[in-house]
Amino acid sequence: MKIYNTLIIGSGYSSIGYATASPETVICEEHQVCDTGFCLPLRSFRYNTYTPKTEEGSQLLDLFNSLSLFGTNEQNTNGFEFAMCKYIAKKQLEVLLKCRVVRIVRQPDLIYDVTVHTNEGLTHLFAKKVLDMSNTSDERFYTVLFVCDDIEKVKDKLLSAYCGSQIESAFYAGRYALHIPAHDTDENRIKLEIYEKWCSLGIDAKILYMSPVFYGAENADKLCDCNYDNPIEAFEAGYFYAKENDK
Amino acid sequence: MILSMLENGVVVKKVCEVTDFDDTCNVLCVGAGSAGCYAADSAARQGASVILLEFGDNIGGMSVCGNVTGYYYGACGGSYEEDDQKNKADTVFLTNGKHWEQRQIRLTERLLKSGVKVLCRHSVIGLYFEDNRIIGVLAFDGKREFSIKADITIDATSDGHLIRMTDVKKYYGRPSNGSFVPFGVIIKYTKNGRLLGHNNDSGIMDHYNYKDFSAKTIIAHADLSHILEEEIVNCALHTGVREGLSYEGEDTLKHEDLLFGKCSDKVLYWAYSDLDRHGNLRAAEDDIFQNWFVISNLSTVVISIPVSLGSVVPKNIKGLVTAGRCLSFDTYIQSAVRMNRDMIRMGECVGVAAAMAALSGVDFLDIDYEKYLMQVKENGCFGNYSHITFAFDNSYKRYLDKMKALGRIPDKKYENLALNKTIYEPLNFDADKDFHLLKTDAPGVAIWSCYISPKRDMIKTRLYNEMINTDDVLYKYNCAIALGLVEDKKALPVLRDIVKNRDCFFFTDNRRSNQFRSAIALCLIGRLGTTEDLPLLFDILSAEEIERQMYHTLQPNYLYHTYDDRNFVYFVMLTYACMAIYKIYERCNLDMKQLHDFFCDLFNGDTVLKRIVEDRTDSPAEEETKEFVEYILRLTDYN
Repeated sequence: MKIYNTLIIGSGYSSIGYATASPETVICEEHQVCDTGFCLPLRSFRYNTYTPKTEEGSQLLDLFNSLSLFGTNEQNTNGFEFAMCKYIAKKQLEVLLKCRVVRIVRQPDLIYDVTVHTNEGLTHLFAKKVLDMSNTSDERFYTVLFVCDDIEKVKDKLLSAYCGSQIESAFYAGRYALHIPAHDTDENRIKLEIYEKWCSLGIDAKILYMSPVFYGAENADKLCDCNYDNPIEAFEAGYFYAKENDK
Repeated sequence: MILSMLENGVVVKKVCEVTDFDDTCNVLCVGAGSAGCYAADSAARQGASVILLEFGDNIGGMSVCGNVTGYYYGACGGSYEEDDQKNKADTVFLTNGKHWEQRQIRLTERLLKSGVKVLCRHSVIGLYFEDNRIIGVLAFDGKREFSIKADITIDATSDGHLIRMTDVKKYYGRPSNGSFVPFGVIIKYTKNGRLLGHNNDSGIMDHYNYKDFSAKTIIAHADLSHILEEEIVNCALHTGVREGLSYEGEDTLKHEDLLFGKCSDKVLYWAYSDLDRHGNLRAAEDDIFQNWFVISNLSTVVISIPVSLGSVVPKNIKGLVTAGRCLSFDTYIQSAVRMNRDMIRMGECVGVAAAMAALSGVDFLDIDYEKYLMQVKENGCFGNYSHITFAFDNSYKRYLDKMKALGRIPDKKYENLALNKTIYEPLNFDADKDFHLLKTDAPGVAIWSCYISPKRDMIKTRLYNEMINTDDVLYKYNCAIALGLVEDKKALPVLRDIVKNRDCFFFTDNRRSNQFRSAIALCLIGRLGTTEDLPLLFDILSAEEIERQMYHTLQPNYLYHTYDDRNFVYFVMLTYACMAIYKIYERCNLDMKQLHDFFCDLFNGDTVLKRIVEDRTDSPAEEETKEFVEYILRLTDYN
């Protein structure tokens, strides 16, 4: 029976930062892809500048730069996911995809027995510590990536149709991201609502992509990607947290 | 009552008592992919109460989350056409008619309208049995476990998640070693204002080993970083299943039945595809499949496939049926019945039948079949076939016509492949009528016609006479191949000549996956050959072999093989030669221990591997070579 030092729920940058610093860490990700915090929800349009403070953070930045993910006007948001996978593979971190935590039971010997649902059905993982780094928050946003020749012509219509939304430029020429707050948790229904509203506007702008949910900042005590605006900052937060806790 | 669960890949049963289920329905559908969504929708439209459970956040499966937005095979007809029409008229998205988000929106509209209760982010962790009948499931919604009672449950999970919780006999992956070749990560990117797709396969993995699945998926995503020079719009959230799980059903559809025209009298619906195989390890396939795919070179012939009612019902289990990728098919049929349209139409048909069973209180196989037929024909999802048909369906010609209609300039290489072809060329396989094709570079139809001809003795005589009397090398060699396929050893001298000459002539029957003559000859020598052939075969395994010209002339080309990351010709020659030697050793009762030791020496280290993959790393060919080495060592293992 393998006992991990730490079992992390959620595969964000903070999780891989933690796993980089702390050996014998396993990350359970319920989706079939990593990085559901920055890349998939197109949150990476919003990163701020951040200078790495660790050698590992610098390595990650070098990897991003080698893939032209930062610093030019034509960045690929989805590139962050590929970059993260490249990093995970290179560092041989243990990330389990399509792995949903069903139950956590603390045993008399203080080891956690974590029941997960995977392709093999129910499986037990054992760890001395369990950390939930998944993104959850009451503040939920969906992003629509769209193509438009003249943003000024459509901007007001979009902002008034989608209450509380924001528009920002999305790296490539003529690409924009519309961030829409939503309270519903059903992504299928939300996409349908966004679509129906878009149809009714009759605007000259075409949708390229509708993102999965991204979460606003969680309470400050929780270590998860939604509390950071830069993936390297999130990575190093996880890294420092592990160093502090492994002392 | 028994709760049957899957724990660490093993079925575990517990006695339990559930008096009050948390929810109830007529039809419970698990898995909201293409098949699951249309199954749930059609069942609801029949009047059944329906719950649809999905593990992920989004419905639509591979057609939405896997970015598989187009069609190539799979027959038309059914409810989805209405959705496609709406998509075509829709101008909201950058590309019309083929956007994955559109599909999701159409499905959401459809399920809302038909009143299906859709529950995403739900896992099914157990099945409730009363005797041999499944009466409900135990589900988990991320916070709590709860029970759902259903008259009938549809496993539309593609990887057979519910089937795996039962005791039914299961078959995993490819016959050689149970491995899988899933298609990996399809990404969407823009180029010149158009939305395009790119597929990065995950290589060979054990889909049902969660650690292997995770590691290989991550590597496939990491490998995509080379495409970052384009604007990536979306990366697939799901990995698709190819050659996944199949099981013993009340009826099992086998490729030999299909190729010889056998058809069930209770057809659920008709699928339409070629017998596509992924990867290049044909040497390890079974004889009938090799007869079709390799020796007759008919890999891209499309077939109308009758999927029987019994092939979606696990044997001796009531209350459970399957829809989608996990069916009671042999591995070859399973890889054929996988197309988007076929999955959708299958879902729609299973939904109709499941609702009829639930609402009339009978088992799935006991529904009023005539009434069922009337309904699915009215829906248009049954397929317009009444018997098995074969045809060349030239997709390049289809592409060419489409480009012309759109006023666009077609890709030159596809234009050449479509030259002088019609889109649909039906095949009747009549040896007398097809015989003249043996004089051409596309003799596959004639070879297969000879093979299945009821007048085998006459055919043998004719083939032999033609073979020895002609001066036309092409004709002589084709006659020898056909003669070899009808198991006449008189073909051997000519087949040996083909191999001795290291003849690398590729046939042109297909729009891709064409075979070359030495490979076909080697395949037949393995079946008919004697100890006399062994020196020729061992010669192919020698270190000097790789220096021959035949291994250094073929340029990467989709016409021949789907991977361009290997010395394809050498890989094929090596694997067939090994298999031929093994077959002769077995047939002639030679010392298998000696052969095993020889193969151990041959494949010790990476010398052979390097000849195949050259300097490339992380090549699918590397995994496939390792798979073959394991396979041949297992076959010859004298212990």
